[in-house]
Amino acid sequence: MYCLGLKTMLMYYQSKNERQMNNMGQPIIEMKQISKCFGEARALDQVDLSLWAGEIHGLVGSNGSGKSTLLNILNGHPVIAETGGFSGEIRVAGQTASPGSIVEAIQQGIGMVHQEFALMPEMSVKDNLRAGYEVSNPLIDRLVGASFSPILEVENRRLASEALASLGIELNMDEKVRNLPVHLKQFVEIGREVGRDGLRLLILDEPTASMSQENAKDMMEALKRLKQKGIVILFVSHRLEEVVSLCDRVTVLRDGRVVSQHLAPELDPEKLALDMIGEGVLKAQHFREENMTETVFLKMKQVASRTESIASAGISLEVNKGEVMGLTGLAGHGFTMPGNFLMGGVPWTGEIELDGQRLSSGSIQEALRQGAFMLPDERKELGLMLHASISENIAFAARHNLKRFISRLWPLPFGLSNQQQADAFALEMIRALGIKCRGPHQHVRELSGGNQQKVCIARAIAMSPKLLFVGEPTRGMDIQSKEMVLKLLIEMNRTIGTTLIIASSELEELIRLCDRIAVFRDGEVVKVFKALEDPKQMIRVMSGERGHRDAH
Amino acid sequence: MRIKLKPPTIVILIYLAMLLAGGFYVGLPLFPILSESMVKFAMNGIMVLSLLPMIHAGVGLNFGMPVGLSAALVGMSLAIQFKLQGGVGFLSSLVFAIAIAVVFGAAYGKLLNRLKGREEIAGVFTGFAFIPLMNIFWTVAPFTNRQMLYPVGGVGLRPKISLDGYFRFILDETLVIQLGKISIPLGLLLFYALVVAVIALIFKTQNGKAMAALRLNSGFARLSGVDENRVRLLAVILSTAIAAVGMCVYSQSFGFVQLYDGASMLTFPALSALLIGGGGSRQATITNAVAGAYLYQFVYLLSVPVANAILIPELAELLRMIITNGVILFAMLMERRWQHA
Repeated sequence: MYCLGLKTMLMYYQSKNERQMNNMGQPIIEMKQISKCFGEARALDQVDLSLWAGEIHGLVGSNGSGKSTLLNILNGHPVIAETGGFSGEIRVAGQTASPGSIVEAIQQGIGMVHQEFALMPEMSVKDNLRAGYEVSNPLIDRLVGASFSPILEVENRRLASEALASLGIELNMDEKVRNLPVHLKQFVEIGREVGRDGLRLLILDEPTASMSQENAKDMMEALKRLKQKGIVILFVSHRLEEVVSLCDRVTVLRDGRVVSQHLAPELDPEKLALDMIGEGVLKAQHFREENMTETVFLKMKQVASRTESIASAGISLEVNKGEVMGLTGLAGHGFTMPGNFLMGGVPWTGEIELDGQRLSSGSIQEALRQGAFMLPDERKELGLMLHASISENIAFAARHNLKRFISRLWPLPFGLSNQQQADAFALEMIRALGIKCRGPHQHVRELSGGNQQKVCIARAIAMSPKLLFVGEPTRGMDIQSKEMVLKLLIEMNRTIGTTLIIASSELEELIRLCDRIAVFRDGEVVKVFKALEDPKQMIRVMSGERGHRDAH
Repeated sequence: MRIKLKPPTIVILIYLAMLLAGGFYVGLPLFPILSESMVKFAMNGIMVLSLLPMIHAGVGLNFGMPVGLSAALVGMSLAIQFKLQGGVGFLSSLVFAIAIAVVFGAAYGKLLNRLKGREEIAGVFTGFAFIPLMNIFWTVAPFTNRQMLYPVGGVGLRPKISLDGYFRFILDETLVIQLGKISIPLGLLLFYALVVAVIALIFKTQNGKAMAALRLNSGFARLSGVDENRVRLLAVILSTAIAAVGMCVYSQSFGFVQLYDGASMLTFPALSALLIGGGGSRQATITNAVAGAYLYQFVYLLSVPVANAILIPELAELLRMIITNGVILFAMLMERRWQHA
């Protein structure tokens, strides 16, 4: 039923779009029925997307919605070919084209500016702007080939300044790029793409992520100028208010599908956010009884990263003993940061108090001693030893911190790891949590995502923590595993009284589980909601409406 | 159980087969070589074992082994200086060597902690820089035992100090069992087994498990409360101290304490032996170290007389150098492939 509804909705949007876009001529880029799988996981499912000359097209979606995969396909990123290619058709200016490499993409007029800078910091602005396609003396080009021909300094300088001028900015061409502030580096990146002959489509991945609002405004002005030159801009951003003010059309991706397209005068951040999150959130029911007490267990006061380039006033948050607290926001707005500050070794400023004890910055051991534990959202990277057994994964933290699974062997002055105890506990967990495996000695890398997460939860159970941080507990799982994992977390809260902090972009799950939900924007807690409050209001706050700050 | 042989092991087994065929052809007496191989194996084997703690903790191959070897040289020199003989001399050498190795290892470990990800190249340079530094020490150190000093002038230590009258062959000649034509140096082998047991036990402790976690996933280990720098430092100190013990054992078998550039000749063969045994800079077991040490020494012992009889005499040494260094290069190639996998 949902699929039918979605289809009708899409057809409506598409015909409406076609009507409006007919006035703009042929699409420059047409993507038809694009599908892409990574192993068994489907990242894109029959995505259709057309981009017309002179439009700024927004592409939004939460983490894992398939945005990056779509951009990689368009940009000819080698990872696509390495993982088996994609199905579907891409047409550039009416011609079938399928960029097999980044060079091919450039030849077809597709340029991309990545979120991480791809600049040469020790070279000048001019050299960065012209790198790879410097103009050289045509006569000598013929004699020795373009790659050995001397570069025409004056001509390149002129072209470089022209590229920047088309963005409305002026820079000292001889300044080294490493001396430029972040937003100007971003301009140099864009200038490099714009300066290329035949640029048709410019893809911008989170171009304003590390900019202040003022600088972001300058950037948007520059993009509007480019649009007037007939270049299509595909603008990917988590800052919905920017998307709304800049774009002519916005496509929303969710779980690898296009769920909606919105046109300029009707763009609304709230609608976009709702589409990104999914309508299910409106029907979600809170299903558990409160277990929380009045005692504050974790107190964060204006905690901000020491190293992060994003300026933020800091996170202020209080979590009560026995509470299940949800942290959410749109991707990239820092809702996983409290866990990283407390347990991830990220140096911070501000104040953190845990169970009445002040903590010092960056000390994981201190937090562990106070009974905190974290299951990070990067499960494979940080949460597990993939090349070790289930038993070793489950036992490790408890052995290291609580001296569990260790026994003394006379006359040795130190304890030795007790494999039998660890295996027995792992076996108990395998049965209790329903981990599908051959036994406690099977390597974790051979398990499915859901079973790997259950191993993580077993690690936490072995630690019996007073406070447990969980990042994205259900990411990449099927529905059954999701339910099981959520049930296990709640069981921990109910039986051993663990205070839970769940950082998740799945608002629906948080509404079902949590006592309170803190909504993050731009690295700060904007508002803390009771779980039973109106989800629409949460989405409104998430997508940009700045209400009064209610951090506590 | 299926045993998977890695290319360095296969190459050395082929070479061994060729040598055995050659030995048979020239009528080489095999039993004395077998007896000798057991001495050589234990004599060099502890240095191969010393590589394990650092690999176990993900620090990589210990190219800076001369640091530990030098500690042992100082330890043994102290024992000779104090004229400590026999078992007492050897035991006190071990105690001095380990104590100095802990200090040297701590400094070396701190250096490696600052150069995470480049430990192996840092180790090479530490080793090469440490030996000349120690050379200065040998020339100016205020030792007074005449048997240690240059016979002419009497200043500075001589390159080779004889252990005759101190603790020469102290392990080699303890509990030697004669089994037909083969003599088994049981005392030496038992000492070797003791070191193996100590390493195996250390790997089973909380710190040993933390080392393994650091190697498998350092992010996971940190989030689980492992103090990365402390555990890595511990691994480097352990490797250095075991290398020092290895050098003491080597010297008593060799009969001399070889100062100055002597320590620089022992690192690469030890690394190569481990790789031949199927170990690598990311993963190596005690079995790899034991099998590799024996294979390497046996092949070396066999190659000299065979090459002397069949080919030109220098060829054996050249082949040994090619295999030793080639195997290390090969391991680096494999490491690169592993990283990109």
